[in-house]
Amino acid sequence: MQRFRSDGGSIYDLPRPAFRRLRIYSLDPSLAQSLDTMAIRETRIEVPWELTEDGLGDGPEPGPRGEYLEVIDYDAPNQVFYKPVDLNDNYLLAQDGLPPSDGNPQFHQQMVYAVAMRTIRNFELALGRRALWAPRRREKKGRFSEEFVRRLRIYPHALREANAYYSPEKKALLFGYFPATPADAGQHMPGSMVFTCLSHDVVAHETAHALLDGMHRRLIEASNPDCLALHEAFADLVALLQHFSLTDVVRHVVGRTRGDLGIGNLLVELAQEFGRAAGYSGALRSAIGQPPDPGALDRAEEPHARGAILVAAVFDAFLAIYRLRTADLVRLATQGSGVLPAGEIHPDLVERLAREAAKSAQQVLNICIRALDYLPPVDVVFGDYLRALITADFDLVTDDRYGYRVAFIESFRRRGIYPKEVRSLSEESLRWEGPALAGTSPDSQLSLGRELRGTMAAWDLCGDRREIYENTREARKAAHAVIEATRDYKQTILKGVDLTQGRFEVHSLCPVRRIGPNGEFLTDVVLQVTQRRPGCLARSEGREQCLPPLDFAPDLEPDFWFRGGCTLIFDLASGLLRYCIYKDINSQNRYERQRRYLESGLASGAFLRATYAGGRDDKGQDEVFALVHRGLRGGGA
Amino acid sequence: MDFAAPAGGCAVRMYRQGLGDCFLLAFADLEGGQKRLLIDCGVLVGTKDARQRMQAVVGDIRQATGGRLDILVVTHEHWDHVSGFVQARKEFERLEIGQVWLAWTEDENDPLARELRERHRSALRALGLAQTRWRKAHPEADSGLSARVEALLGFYGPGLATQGGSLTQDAMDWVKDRHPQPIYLKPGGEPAVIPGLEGPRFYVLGPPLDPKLIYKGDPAKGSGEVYLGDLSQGWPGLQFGVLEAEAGAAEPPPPFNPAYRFWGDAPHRMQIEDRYRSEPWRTIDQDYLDAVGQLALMLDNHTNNTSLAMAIELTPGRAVLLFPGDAQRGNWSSWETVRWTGAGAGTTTQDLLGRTVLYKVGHHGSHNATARGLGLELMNHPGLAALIPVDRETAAQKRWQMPYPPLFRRLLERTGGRLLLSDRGWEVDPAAPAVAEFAARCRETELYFEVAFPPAT
Repeated sequence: MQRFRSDGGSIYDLPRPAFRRLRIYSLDPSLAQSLDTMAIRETRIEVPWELTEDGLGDGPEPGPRGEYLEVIDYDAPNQVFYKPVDLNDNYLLAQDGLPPSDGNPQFHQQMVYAVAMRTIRNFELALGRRALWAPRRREKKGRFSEEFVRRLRIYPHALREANAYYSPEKKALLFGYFPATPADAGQHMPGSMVFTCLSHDVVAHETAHALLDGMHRRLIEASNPDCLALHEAFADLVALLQHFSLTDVVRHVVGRTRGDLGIGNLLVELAQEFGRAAGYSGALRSAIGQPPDPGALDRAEEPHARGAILVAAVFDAFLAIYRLRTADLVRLATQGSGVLPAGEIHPDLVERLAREAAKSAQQVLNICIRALDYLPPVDVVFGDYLRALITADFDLVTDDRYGYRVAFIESFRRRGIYPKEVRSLSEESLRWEGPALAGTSPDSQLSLGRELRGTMAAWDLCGDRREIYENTREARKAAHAVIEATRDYKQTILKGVDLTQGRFEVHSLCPVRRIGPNGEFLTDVVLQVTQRRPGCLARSEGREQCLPPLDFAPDLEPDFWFRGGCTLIFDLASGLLRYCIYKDINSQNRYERQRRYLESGLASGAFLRATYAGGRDDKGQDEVFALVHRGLRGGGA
Repeated sequence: MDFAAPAGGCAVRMYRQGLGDCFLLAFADLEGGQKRLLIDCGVLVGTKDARQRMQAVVGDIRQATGGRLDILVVTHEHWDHVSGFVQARKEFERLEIGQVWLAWTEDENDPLARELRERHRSALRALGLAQTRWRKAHPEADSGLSARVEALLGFYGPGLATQGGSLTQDAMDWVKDRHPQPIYLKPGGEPAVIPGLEGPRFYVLGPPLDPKLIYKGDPAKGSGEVYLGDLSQGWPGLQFGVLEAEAGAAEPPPPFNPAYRFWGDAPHRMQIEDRYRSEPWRTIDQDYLDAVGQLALMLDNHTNNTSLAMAIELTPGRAVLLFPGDAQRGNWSSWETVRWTGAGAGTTTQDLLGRTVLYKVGHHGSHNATARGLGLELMNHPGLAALIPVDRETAAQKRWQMPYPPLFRRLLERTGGRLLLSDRGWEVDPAAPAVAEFAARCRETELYFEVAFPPAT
């Protein structure tokens, strides 16, 4: 069969399309067989049109295998390879990919590819730079080396259980499938196969874990109860908000509304409906729609219970923003009464409401993602995330005309999430502090910024991802040298790290764009510097009294690593330091808190198998997300 | 008959066979007439010379009791609590046994108990088979996971995988056969007594009657728990043909029409497989088996929660000895609402815990077998002492945290040092003022520790 695809694009000089449309299940496949929801069983999403690796042909290769992702459909329990889907097949191009089907593994491949690509794109759009996966880290004789990982692997049929997780070790997403149990009989035929990779929210959630790990590797080190909770909550918010930006489903739900336009409730139900997918934990969404209880956070210990509160807070903000944006529409349609005449609502109104919901969701998603650049490098807590949200949004939209930031602050406050260290919950006290306020010397700051600018002048942000990765590494080395040279300065120029002792690491470095006061595009540089100090649990007797020195080398591996450091945000043009967000390496309080937390046995997945696995695993780290997810399944499917 | 309680009091002997429970109790009436009761008799799989050790223990029991046990109590079906009934069967056969006390969950005639056990046994069988298969499929693999699962399966006796059935079950069946009418105890109701002895009352605290609580193992709060009971016979992670194959049926139906598979060595297949193998660190051949470890862990929690938990009140309104078996969170948390009748009317769990002078630490001191708020923190008696049947060397080899350090520290604080571990005895100097009185009532031999409780306590 002749293919129209040619190495140089079209023979008739047609330009390549920018996007490819692919079909996915918009709700859980079991709902596709229900008359109520048949009309919206599938939806089409747009993903970027990829090129082959050499940039000449049309990607992705069969698999699909493109620039970011590599779907390998190996069914390990059955030891079978399934045939890969070729999205550039003419027949598939003509119909936006395969039609949704749970019996065709090639559709499964298409769906995980489509949803994961969309998630990646949302990150790239929000951050204004290309997404990189976490590098592979290897230790050889005590020295770490990092290796670029171009593609995240996706195994749509890796497990034979109701679970799916991101493996930080393998840089891969593993999805499971399982026979429906008689308990699910309302939804599934008992014994029929249920696939976690056919749920939009599951795929987006796992991809978001991978993207977040690529940005903040240390967030999976549970040094406090919020780290894993934030990881989980954030991944779920991405899945949820991204799902709301699919207008088809929202339109359908809004169209069913009669009379009352209390659409907030509908959206709450929908959020839970999205989460009701196969093998997916509903626990993270359990607080959505519950009346806010500021004390709930203090009582919740387990990562999902805490995460659920953060999810609910952001969702409240989303609803508030949605209400603000549609208040005029409701008034127009109801002539100020707020009550519609009986019968179906006008399709134009349905369309406008659905679009507003999708738009609000997309904007809230962008704000949530952008905030990631404004987090401290280690030991993040929920309060830090609120401050990051406010600061990041301020940098993009100086004037909070639509009240977005107020909506966030209010809904976080009502759920009891606020930073302990700020004086008030006003916007300006929530914003991170600049250098002058952080009490460090502006002169040496400036020189550091200028030096960085010099090393990054030739930095190409648009090139190949491997080049970006390599350039970033070079820039990190250069930044390390600059900071190293300041070691003997009398004044401290960095908060959070202690340059009088020990080694330090330039953990990451990346650009972030913002809009200046006059509407001009500006680029900032986010630089994270970290240090670590060995920590001892109380069982190592006599050593727990004080902070061990940074360069203290115990005979054995330390019980844990205590980390500190700062996130510096520089203006690239002027070299001025704009923010310094830090966690002090010399903080005795923080050290004690982390030690107590680790001893409490609630850290990471450890609480599930504390007795049996013992403290550290000597080899083969446990799959932290596999554990966290598995521990949780009871609540959902 | 060298083992006797002081008149009107009680004596407790903790055997030192290794990681496992074996407690011999003697109660005396005011004339000094002795009644004796044995709680559990076992040691962990893989203990060196386990058979000889258990035979020595049971030999000693026979001598100490003059060949008669008034009551034999078995808390739950784990090897480290029942191995003696297999390993020292001959010695046990020569013991006269007055009554057998078991938890209601062992009752063959109780429909709920039967259902729990069926489910439990089929999961156990599946685990055993999964383990065998896995060994066969990956003979060279010596991953941490495999070892971990094997260690957990050790709680069901040796050779589970090869024999397909568990020796633990044999041990339990033997115990039930000891008496034509074993007594199955439920929480609440009238406290049990030893026939012919007025004094001590046995308040049954658990296992709870609500199966949901039995499935509750870990101390995690919130909604995040998995209950074994929520899973049907088809525990998903084990569906790789294990149960079906056992039933003689064909392989389970494949998830997709075989037309979607690559067959043989089609060139495209090789290409995909090469790509898959090209980065060995990213392959996933064994990840799906991780679910087995999880199931083993759940099963273990579940069995622990079927433990018969008892508070033994020596004289009305006075000292209490707490023997919770290996009860975990669900079991402990159910005690609060238990009510007693008859002689026990008006007594509450809080009251019993407040009068506890001896706590047999559950599950060898693991992190999830001693409740804090609803347990240890309520044991406010100034003379509280604790016994931990544990072997720290074995536990360390298996990489189990027994005893769990934070719990251990708290126990030391709460008991003021009146704490004996079966492996090495005292943790503090027994001459210390807070401990001396208690230490004076203790006796130590190679084979056991013994504590006496005079009637005044």
